[in-house]
Amino acid sequence: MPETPEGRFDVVVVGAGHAGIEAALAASRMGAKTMLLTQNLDTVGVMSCNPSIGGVAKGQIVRELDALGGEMARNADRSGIHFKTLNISKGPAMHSPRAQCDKRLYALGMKEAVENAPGLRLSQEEAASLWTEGSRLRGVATKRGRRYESRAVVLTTGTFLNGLAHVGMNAHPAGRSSEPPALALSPGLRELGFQLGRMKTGTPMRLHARSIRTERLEAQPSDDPPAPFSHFTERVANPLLPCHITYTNPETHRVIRCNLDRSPLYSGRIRSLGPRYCPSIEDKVVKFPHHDRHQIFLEPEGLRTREVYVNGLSTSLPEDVQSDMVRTIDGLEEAEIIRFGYAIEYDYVPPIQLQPSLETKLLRGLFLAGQINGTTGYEEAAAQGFVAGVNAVLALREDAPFILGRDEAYIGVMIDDLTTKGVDEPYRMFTSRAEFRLSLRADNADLRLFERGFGLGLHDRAAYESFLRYRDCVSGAVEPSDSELAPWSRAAAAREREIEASYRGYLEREARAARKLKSIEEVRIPEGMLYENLLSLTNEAREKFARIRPRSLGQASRIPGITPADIQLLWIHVEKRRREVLAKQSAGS
Amino acid sequence: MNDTIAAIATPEGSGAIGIVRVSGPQATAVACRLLRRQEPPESRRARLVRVHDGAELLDEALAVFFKAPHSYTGEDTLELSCHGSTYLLRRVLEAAIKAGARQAAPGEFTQRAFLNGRLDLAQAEGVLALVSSRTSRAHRLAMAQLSGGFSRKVARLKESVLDLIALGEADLDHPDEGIPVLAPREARRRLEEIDAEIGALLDGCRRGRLLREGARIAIGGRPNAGKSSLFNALLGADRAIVCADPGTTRDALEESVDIDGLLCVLTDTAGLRPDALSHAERAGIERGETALKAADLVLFVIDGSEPPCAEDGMAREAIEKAARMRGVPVLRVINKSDVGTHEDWRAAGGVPVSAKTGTGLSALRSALLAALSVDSVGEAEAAASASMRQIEDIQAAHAELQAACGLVAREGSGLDERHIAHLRSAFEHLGLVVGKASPDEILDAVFSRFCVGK
Repeated sequence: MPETPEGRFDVVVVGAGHAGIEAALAASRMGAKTMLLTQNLDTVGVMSCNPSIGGVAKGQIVRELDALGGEMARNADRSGIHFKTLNISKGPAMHSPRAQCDKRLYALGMKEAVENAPGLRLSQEEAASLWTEGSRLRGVATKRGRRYESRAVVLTTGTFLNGLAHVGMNAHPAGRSSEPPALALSPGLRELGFQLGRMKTGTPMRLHARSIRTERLEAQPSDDPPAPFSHFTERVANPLLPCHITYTNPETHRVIRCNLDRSPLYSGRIRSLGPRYCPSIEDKVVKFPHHDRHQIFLEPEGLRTREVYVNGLSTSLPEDVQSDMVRTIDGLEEAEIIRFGYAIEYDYVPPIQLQPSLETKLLRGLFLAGQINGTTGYEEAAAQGFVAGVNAVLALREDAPFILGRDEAYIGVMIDDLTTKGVDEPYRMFTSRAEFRLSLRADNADLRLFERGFGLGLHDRAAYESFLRYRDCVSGAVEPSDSELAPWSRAAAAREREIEASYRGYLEREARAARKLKSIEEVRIPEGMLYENLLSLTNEAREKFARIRPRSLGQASRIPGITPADIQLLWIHVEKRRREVLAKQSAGS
Repeated sequence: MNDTIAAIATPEGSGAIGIVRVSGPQATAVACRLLRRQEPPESRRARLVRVHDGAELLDEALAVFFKAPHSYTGEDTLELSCHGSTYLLRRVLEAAIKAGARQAAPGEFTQRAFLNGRLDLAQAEGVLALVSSRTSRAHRLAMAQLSGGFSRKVARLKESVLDLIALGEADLDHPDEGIPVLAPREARRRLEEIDAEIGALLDGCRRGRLLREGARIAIGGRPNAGKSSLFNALLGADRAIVCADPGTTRDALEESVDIDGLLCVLTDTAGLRPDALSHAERAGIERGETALKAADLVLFVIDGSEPPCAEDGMAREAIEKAARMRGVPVLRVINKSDVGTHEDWRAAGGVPVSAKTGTGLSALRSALLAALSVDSVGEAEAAASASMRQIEDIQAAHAELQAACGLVAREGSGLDERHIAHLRSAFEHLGLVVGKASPDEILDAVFSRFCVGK
C-alpha cells in the first residue's frame, strides 16, 4: 500500500447515490475541495427501487432541499414524466408533490450535475476502509490501495454495506440487484468501536410494457400542466405518461400463501428488521388476511424503456412464484417479468451514535448519511446527504453546525428523531411525525429555508434579493412587479397569504408550542458532560443520557422515558458547569 | 429567569392553612395588586392582610414579603398564608397570575434558589430529588387512586379518539393506498359521540368534586325572607342571628353540614337590597355576591306568606345572573309555610318549607341533592377519585373535541389535518389522565397540582 496519498481534499464522499450526490454538491458549492468516490460511475444517482421522487411528507422534504440549495428538486423536474400533487382534497399543508421520473434521465441529470460542479472530483473506486491514525481520521483508503487524504469523510453506503440479496431461498452477496456489495468497510467500522445493525428492504419485479393489457385497466393521468418541484423550474419539458391501476385478488393471495415456505421472510432466513409500512406483498397477505385485494400501481420507468415498475408487489418469493402470482392479476395475465423482485439485507449504523450534525460521536470528521443511518427513501437520504455535506465543511471551518429545528423543517424532525430516539425499523418520513406539520408545508419551504440556504452560500445574491422581495410581498409590505419577483410572482404571494389565512388559529397554536420548545432547546449541554458523576439522577436517566449524549436540554427531554425531574436536575448541572467555566475564564484573564 | 412565578406551595387537600408563593422581579407589583396597596409590606415581617382579585375580596391572610436577595429564591418573594380551601387557594393563585406571574414548573423555586446562589448544588439536588420522588410518588398514588370504573372510561375514550386519529392519519399520510375514508356524516357522528361521552365524564367529575370537597350552597333572597332561619334550620343550630328587622345579616356566614351523606358548605348571604343602610351592610352584600358566584347551588328564598314584591324580583335577577354565568342550578324555597303560602307563589313553584317548624325540610334536602345531581352517588363516587389535574385534562380534551365538532358542523367536511390536530391534543390530555404519555407532554401538566414549591 503506497504511503503517499493520491491527493489532499477537504471532504471525501463515499457513495454517489442520493445522499452522496447532495453531500458532494453541497460541500463543493460551499467552496470545499471535494472528492466523490463510487464503485461505478454508470450508477451515479440510480433510482434503485421505484421511479418516483416526492410523495406525502417526502415531497415537502424535496421542496425544503430546493429552498436550501440542494439538487434533487431540479433534477426531478428535468427527468419527470408524470406529476401529481397528492392530497389535493385536503388542506394546503397536506398537499404533497410527487413525480414519476425517467430513471435514466434522472441518473444522467445527476451525473451531469456532479461532473460539472467546480471543485468536485469524481473517481470510480471502491472505498475499502477509513484511514485513521490513532483516534484521528486522516481520509479514505480504497480497495486498490490508494489513499485520499481529508479531514472530513461522508459515508453514504446505501444498501451496499455488507449487502445480501434474497430471491426465494437463494441468497447472494450484492449491493443492488446484480452489483457487488461493499464488504470491506463494516469490519473497520466495528474495529473503530461503532455498533452495527442489520436492516432489510425489498423491491418488486419489473414487467415489459407490451405484455400488460393496459386497455383493461384504470389509467391515472399526470396533472397537466404539472406543478414543478423546484422554485427555479419554469416548466416541465418532458412528455407526460400515465400510470395504471390494478389490484391483487384472492387467487393472487392463494398463490402467495401456498408458497410461504419458500419465502426467505417467512422461513426465517431473513431475520433483520423490515419496515411495518410498505411491507412486501407476502407481508400484506399474511398480516391482513381479511383483505381480498391490494392496490397495484403500474409505473413507467422511462420514455425510452418499456420497463414497468409494479408498485405494491415488493417481494422476495422465488422467481416461479413471482411469475405465477403476477399472472393472476387483472391486466397482467400475460405479463413478462424482465427483472425479478428481491429483498436485500445490509448493515447500518444505529443513528444514536450521531450528533445532530450527522457527525459521529466516536470519530471526529466522520459523517454518515442515508440508509447507513437506518432510513429508507431517496428523499430522506438526499436530505441527510445535504446536511452531512454542509456540516463537513462547517466543521473544517470550525463554524457552528447547521441544524434545523423540528419547527423549521421536516428535515429537522427526521434528524432529531434519528439521533434522539434511534430507529427500530427503516425510518421513513410521515407528516404525522411532525408536530408542527401545518407550518411545515411544501408551499412555504422557501419562506422557511431560503435564507438559511443563502447563509450557507448556496444561492446567488440575485436570487436571494428576489426572495426578499417575495417575502415582503407575502407579508404585504410591498407590491413589486412580477419581473422583480421572478422566479416568484405576485400570484404566488397572494396564494401564500390565503393559505396562512386558512390556517388562522392553528398556525398561532403551533408557533406557541414551538416557542415553548425553544426555551429549553437553547440550553446547550457541554459535550464532555460526565453523567456517571450525576448520582442524583435515576440510573435509567443516567444511562440514557450517557448513551445518547444529548446536545441540548430540549433534545434530552425528548428521549423516551426521561421525566421533567430528570431535566431539572440536568439543567442545574449544566448551569453549574457553565459557571465554573466562566469563573475559570475570568480568573485566567 | 426574568419572569415571575407563582404556585400553591402546600399540598392540595384540606389543610388548615395553604401557602401561595410568588417569586421574581414582578413580585412587588403582584403584592401591590393582590393586597391593594401602594407598596409591598415591610420585608420579612408577617402582616395580616386582605387578598383581592381585582375589587373582589378573596381572603384574610398572613403575608410575608421578602426583599431580594433575602429570600429562599434570592428574588423578591411574597408568601401568603391563606385559609386552606382548595378553591380559595386556586383563586389566589389565579389572581397572582392575572397580576403578572405565571404558574411555576415543578422544582422551579429551587432551581432559582440554586441559580441565584442561595443553595449549593448538594442542597439543590437534595430538594429536587425529593420533589422528584414526591411528585412521582404522588403521581403514582393519583393513578392508583383512580377508580377502576373511571380510568376504564377514560381509557375507552382515549381508544375511541385514537381510532379516529388513526383513520385520519392513515388517510393523510397514505392517500394512494385505498384506505377507506370516513364519510363526513360518519366523522361528525363519531366526533359528537366522543364529545358527548367526555361531557358526561366531566359532569361525573363535577359531581365527584362535590362529594369530595363538599357542595357550596348559597342562600339568597330579599332581606327578611327568612334566609338566616333556613340556614339555621338546615344546620340544626342557631348560628345566624335571626331578627325581624331587615338587613340583620351583615356578613356572609359559612358553615358545613352533612346532608344525607353529602358535605355541604352553606353560605347565608346578606339580603340583596339597593338601599342598604350602612357601609357594613353594603360590604356584606358584596361578599354575598361573591358567594353566589362561587356556589354549586343557590337556594332562592322567598317569604311565601306575602305576595311577590319588587325586592323579590331584584333578588331573583341578581341570583339568576350569577347562576347563569356558570350554569349553576337555582332552587326556589317558599319559606314561612307555617304562616301560609300566597297563591302567586304556589303557582310559581318551589319547595314549601317552614324554617321555623321544620316542616318540608326533608323534602328540601332531597330536592337539593337532586338539583346537584348527586342522587346517583355511584357514578359520582367513581369520578370523585379524579384529581384536580386529571379533571383539568379532561376539560382540555373536551374543549378540543368541541372545537373539532364545531369544524365539522360549520364545514360539513370529513376529517382533515385540522380535526386531527384537535384530536391529537385531546388524545394527549386523556393520556395524561391515565398516566401513559410521553415525557415532553408530561412536562407541562402532570405535576401541576403537586408541591411545586420545593
